[in-house]
Amino acid sequence: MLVDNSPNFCDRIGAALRRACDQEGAACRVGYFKTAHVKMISASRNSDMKCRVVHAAWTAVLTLITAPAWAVVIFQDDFSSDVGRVTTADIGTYDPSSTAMATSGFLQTFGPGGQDKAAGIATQVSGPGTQLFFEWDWNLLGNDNPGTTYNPIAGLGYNANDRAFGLRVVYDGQVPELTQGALFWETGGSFVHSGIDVPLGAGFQKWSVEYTVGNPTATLNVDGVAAVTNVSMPVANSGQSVVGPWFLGNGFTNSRFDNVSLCDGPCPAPPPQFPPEERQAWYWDSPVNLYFDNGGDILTGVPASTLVPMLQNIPVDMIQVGIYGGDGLSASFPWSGGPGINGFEPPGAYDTLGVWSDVANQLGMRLHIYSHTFNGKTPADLADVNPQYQGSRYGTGWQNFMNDVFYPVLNEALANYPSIQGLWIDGSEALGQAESVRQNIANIVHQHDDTAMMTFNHSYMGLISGWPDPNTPPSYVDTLSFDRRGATGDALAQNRLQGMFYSTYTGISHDMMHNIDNAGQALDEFLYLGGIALSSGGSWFIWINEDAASPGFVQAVADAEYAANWAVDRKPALGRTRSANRTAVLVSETEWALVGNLTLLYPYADTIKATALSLQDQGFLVDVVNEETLTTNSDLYSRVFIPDAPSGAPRLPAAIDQVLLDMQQNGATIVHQAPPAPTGYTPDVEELANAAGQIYMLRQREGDPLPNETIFHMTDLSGLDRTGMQVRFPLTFEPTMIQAYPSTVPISTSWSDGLMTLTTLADYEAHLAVTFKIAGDYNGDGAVDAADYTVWMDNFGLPEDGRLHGNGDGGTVAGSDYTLWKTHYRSGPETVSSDGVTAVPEPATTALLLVGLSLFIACRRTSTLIDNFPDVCEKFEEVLQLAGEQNAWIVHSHSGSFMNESKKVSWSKQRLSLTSDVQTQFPNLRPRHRCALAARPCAFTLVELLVVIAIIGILVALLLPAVQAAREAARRTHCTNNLKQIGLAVHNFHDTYGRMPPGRWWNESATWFALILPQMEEEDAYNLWVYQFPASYYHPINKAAREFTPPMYLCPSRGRSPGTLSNDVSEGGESTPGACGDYAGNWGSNWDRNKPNIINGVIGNSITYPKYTDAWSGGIEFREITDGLSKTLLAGEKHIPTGALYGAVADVSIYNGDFGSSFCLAGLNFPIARGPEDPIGEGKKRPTDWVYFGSWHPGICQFVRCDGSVRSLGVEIDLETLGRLAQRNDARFTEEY
Amino acid sequence: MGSARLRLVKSVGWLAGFALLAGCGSGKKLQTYDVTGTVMFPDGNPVAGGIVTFRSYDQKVSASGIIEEDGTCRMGTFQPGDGAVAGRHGVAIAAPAIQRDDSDPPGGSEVRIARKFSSPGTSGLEFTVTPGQSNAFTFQVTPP
Repeated sequence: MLVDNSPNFCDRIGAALRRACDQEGAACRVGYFKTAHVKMISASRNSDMKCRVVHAAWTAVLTLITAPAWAVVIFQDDFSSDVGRVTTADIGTYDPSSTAMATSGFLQTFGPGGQDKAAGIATQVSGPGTQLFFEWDWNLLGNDNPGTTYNPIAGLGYNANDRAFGLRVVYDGQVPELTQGALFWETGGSFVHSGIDVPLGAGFQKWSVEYTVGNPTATLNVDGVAAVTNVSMPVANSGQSVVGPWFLGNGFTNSRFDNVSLCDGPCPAPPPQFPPEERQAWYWDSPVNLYFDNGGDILTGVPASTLVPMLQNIPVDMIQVGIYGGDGLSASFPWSGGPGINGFEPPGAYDTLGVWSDVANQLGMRLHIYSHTFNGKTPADLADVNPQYQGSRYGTGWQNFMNDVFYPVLNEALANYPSIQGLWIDGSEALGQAESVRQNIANIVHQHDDTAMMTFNHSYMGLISGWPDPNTPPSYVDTLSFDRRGATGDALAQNRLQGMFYSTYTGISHDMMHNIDNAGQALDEFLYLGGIALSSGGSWFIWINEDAASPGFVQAVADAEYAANWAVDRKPALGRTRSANRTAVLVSETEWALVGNLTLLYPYADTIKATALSLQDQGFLVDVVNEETLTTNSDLYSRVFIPDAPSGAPRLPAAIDQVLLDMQQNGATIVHQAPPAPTGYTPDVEELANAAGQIYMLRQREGDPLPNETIFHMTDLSGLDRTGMQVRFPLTFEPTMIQAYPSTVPISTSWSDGLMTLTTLADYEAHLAVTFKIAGDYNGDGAVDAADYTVWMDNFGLPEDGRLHGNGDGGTVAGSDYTLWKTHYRSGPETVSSDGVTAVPEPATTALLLVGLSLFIACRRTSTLIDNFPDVCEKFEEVLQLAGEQNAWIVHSHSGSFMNESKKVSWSKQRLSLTSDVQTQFPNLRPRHRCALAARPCAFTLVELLVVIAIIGILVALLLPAVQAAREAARRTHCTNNLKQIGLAVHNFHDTYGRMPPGRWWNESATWFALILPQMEEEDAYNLWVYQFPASYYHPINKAAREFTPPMYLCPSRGRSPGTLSNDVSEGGESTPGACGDYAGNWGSNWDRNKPNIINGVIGNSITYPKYTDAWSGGIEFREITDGLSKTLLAGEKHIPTGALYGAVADVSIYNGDFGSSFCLAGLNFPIARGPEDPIGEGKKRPTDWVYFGSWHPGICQFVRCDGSVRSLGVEIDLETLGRLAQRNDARFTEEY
Repeated sequence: MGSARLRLVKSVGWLAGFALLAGCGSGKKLQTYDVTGTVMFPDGNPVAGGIVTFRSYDQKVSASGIIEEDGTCRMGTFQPGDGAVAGRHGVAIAAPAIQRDDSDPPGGSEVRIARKFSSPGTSGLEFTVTPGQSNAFTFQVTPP
């Protein structure tokens, strides 16, 4: 994860510093400060870590030292946001009188008197959050003052509570091999340093520092290396210092240990690292809950019947209730009014557990209970957990308490309230040291309910560091959580985090909830955290230390509802899947009071981390600095280097873009970095002739060099004087340079409007190298790629002066050059613009070469063609001489492997124009030679041309009707398939329901084409239909349903597209357009309106019986088709005259059961319409409307029969036969049709 | 120029060949002959609206035509109005009642001419289409 993608970063900054140093005018020395804290110091010996360290915001402090007098260069104010863009503007000179030192800074000191200066500086430091670091080169000190013990910080005075500063130890400019620690003096924390003495000459083999943590004295091990030598360093301000790998100070309740452990005796090896990916996966897979955390006392007297209506709209699946002591003290046993536990009911307590159990039952939520019992308790304290128990038999120790009170009460509570499905226990030192107690509690919970969740909260209680296996939480624990930032840092560092409960520090405050605008960002952050928070993710901290009925409580509930809804809405969009597991918390005042000034810090850490990981997934190189070192948001922002997506690269997901934007708005500097070198370049040879046919642009082929030079070889025709000769050839782009080789050849060139004019000033044979400007191609390799970015980086701030191969924008290598590079990074071709700006060939087609040879003949040595006919070639030259062709040079154009193409072109062009001359001069050339020289006209004669045209014409004439017919045949096949699908659907319908679909649900409802939608794999469309009375076809509720057209219902020959709606009008006159359709069921050969539901076809106007049900009782069963399935039509194409398309009667919606439009009759009086123009069924209110089959396929009409086969019938079919096919039970012989 | 002439001749030959090929390929349908007529009640009023169908005795084809408002009718077999095949035909005429309601399909019991006309077996009507003549029919039908 910690990938440094900017290997030159250090060097670049170093270069900037060196330049600054030069300006100082004195002997100057540049040093890098490479450390932020112990972890990084220890790593700084590794070269691959160097730059990462430098990346760190406030540690990206570089020093410029002038010697012999020391000097301090301080990067003031904004070096964090300016990381990566270090310029001299960022470097100021230390002025002891300046108050600028009040901001974070770094100074380096060495040499005689340095320490005193440092002391002087230090006295200037004040203000919260100030960090001051010293780098102290011991060797220099030692050399200057051999044998002297130095106390570099002697005399430092500082306001201990406001800041921290550190001392970095180096030896001769290097960090000694095993000096892997930094000394940080800190006061105000719980550690008090007794002093360090570092004797010179000890070699700094290892560091070990004695320090005092209360009592007893322990040993500090750095990076897991046990102390070898006890060293001590007297500190003037005794009692105000502590040695540690990090600083402690106001606002940090926990020290930040990274691979540093406090041990009694030898420390164990640091835990192995959990792979970041796994950690991330764990985060993302974690469920998200929303908690209610209420004090039991606040609900005194409030029954479930009051709470349920208030809470029922909150979309949570779980309520977690923290039941506090009714005495106002925290940490009574889980509930103040233990159910049936005599002697454990505080005065005035209310059985809030019972209330919440009722609430959970009624709301169908999980109920988790929250024990505050052990908060902040030491084993010695446990007897005092509840003042009530003072002096009782339980008061002698927590073991008794657990055995006699906690376990029984927990068991009984779980037994009495099955809705309890989780227990959350805040930890403490006491509980942290009591593995068996933790396990007992968890066992009780799990025995009660396998699915119950056991959560231990607070890392500092030792739950984490106590595991034997740091990567595997104890099996009996479902969730570990952390709600302290420092503790979280611990856990993260040790990668043992199983879940996090962001409570007090995550900062969704009551106030924020009242201000949605402000809350939005916080909530967003929170949801990013949701991936981390196994049991929170949306933890909403709502202080409701009021009565339920009070405005405060009402507001709190409203907040929770808002938050929960918000979370539900947002979580899926953020890619998390387990949003179903939601809970809500209302936190008490005591918790809230712990909210410090770290609000929103960590949320961004993970926002950024997620961003970075996502970018990495997309192939970007991302530098993410260890987030544990972050102290401010701006720090954190500035540490993330987000590569800008180059043109053509996949776009970042919008969510990530938003994050970036957000970061920028919060002061982050998004540093653009080069993407990986392009791979998968697809080379090909591509000739793009311009309109004049004279420019040939050849794209590079694989394996070709990457020239941005085109070399024109100009050789002479013997005897020709080329002095003053002009050659013109088209060049799309203005060359930046034309170099003749040998360079002694005098030429002059000019270029305008895409035409290159080259004038030779002497008679020389030369090759010309034409160089094209390629903006952004800073390494001159002809491609604008990632490598150019590196060149740009390395030369940043320097004069261009050829450093960018002339492809920059001139002046200094600056941001504009970056923009230039970015703009042209693998982008598309450009042409010369009219405003005179130099157009450049586009880098993506860097290998694009122009070979304009309209006046030249390629010939001679390199031409294999000519080599076959040397004599001809020589003759040819003679011809040219004789013809006095001054402009006819023989020019070889070759540049790489595409030479042949260019030559071929120029040759063929030339041979046309020289034909007559050659023929004239060399009438006796054999045809073979003539052909080679293009002496024979290689064109069509007029007769040949005419014949060809004639043949083509005939072929076209032959083909066109055939093509049309083929298209119609394809459409007919398509139509056949539609009918086949309908047939299969009906069969499936029959398989499901035992009968075919009735014509419609009821007489104004949807037709059978809606009924079979599930069998047409359109279940969703089917589900849109509401068919119960009065939901007719016309009813507005069915609007979406009736407008859905499966493509299978449309015959392509009618050319209607789904979505083109009919013009149905209800009896009430409302326009109710619906899906059109081109098929209809076989109603039979005739129909008696007096027996409306008796049909002799298979799908008529029958309806379901009983009415309005889906019993399908009106449908025909296969066994009723006594003529045989293969001899009875099922459905066919519905006749719609061309003039009646979309007509209100003739072409009503295929779903409209009010018309008989989804079934047709066929028989003696019901012929098949004889083509699209047949006026039968035209919809003119004639009795012959809309019951006829008919097709737009010429001459036929297609039917699917009841056996599923699709066959067509000629429109002229004998109507008796047609009637028998339509009637299912005529019992008449029907000859095969 | 000799070769050019030869080429020309060859070209013309090819052209002719293709032209011949182009002329082939379409199938042969039964020949139909224009048939028009009138359907009226005995009182001379036209049967406005209805359908006349011819069932050929000789071929497995039928023709049909719509009775217009004035009682005239033009038969069609393959295309609307293209006539009927030659030979004898049984005739059926159906004239359902004018729809009173969109949801009432035609056919069924409400008819305007006697039901027997709706089948060639019972209508007693025949018509012979004779090539080379004007084939016009006049059928009288009775109300139900």
